[in-house]
Amino acid sequence: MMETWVFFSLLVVILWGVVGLFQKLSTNYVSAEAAFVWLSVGYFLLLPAMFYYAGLKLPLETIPGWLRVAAGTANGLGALALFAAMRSGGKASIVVPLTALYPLVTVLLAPVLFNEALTLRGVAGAVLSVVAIILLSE
Amino acid sequence: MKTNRLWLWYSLLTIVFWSVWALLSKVASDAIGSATLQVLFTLGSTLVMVWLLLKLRFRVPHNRRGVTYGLLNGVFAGLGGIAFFEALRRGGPASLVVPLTSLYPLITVVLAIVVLRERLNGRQRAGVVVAMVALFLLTT
Repeated sequence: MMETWVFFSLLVVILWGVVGLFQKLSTNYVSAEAAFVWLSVGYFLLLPAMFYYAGLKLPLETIPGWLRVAAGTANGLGALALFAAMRSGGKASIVVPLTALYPLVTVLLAPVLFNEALTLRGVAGAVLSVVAIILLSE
Repeated sequence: MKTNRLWLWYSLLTIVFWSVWALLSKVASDAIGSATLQVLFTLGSTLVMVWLLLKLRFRVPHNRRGVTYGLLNGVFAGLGGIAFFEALRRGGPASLVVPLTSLYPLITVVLAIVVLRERLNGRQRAGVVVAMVALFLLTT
């Protein structure tokens, strides 16, 4: 019997995987800007369900407001750039794995910013990320 | 280098923005980490949406298919976020849920090949595999 958290994790993989397909499909028909606006509308449609589900117990109040806005804005600009990549001819099968490598920067900067130890695993992951970016950038 | 490389620069720009996002979220709280990111996205992306609406003078291209896929993007991304919360809520350790869920590009690659008929050459295929191994190492 599979543990339920494994089921939900796999569901995440499927849902977010499908999102990559829809991102490419949407930019086949509209501009990156329009694709982002419609994505946001879709997200807002889901907000009531999210709040109902979370019972408003999301730990948002523990995060300073400006950080929330700054983090969300950075995320939004990243998504917009991804749409632009697809709109300018990037394949979903390349842009999605490529952009998913963003933890690379976090792992490398964490020792500087947060005094965290740089692990061998982290270094290996970072090196392989660079290799992957070079291979995918053909 | 005759081919148009604009998509590559935009992809790298995405990596830059998303790492800023990840770092800010990390500053915000190590404890809640990625679970909150989905909600942050909704709230924070509002600013970007408003900026784009002003830029487009509220005339958003509304090709029927473009709108449909765009809306589905938002809904599926949000549902994925809820499932992510649920995995953590049901006792999934973040140290396993995060690496497992970060494998989502694999599904996109398969769908893009099957549905969109995208073709990858050997080098690109190797790139996808290396990227997945790298992601696993980065998130565990």
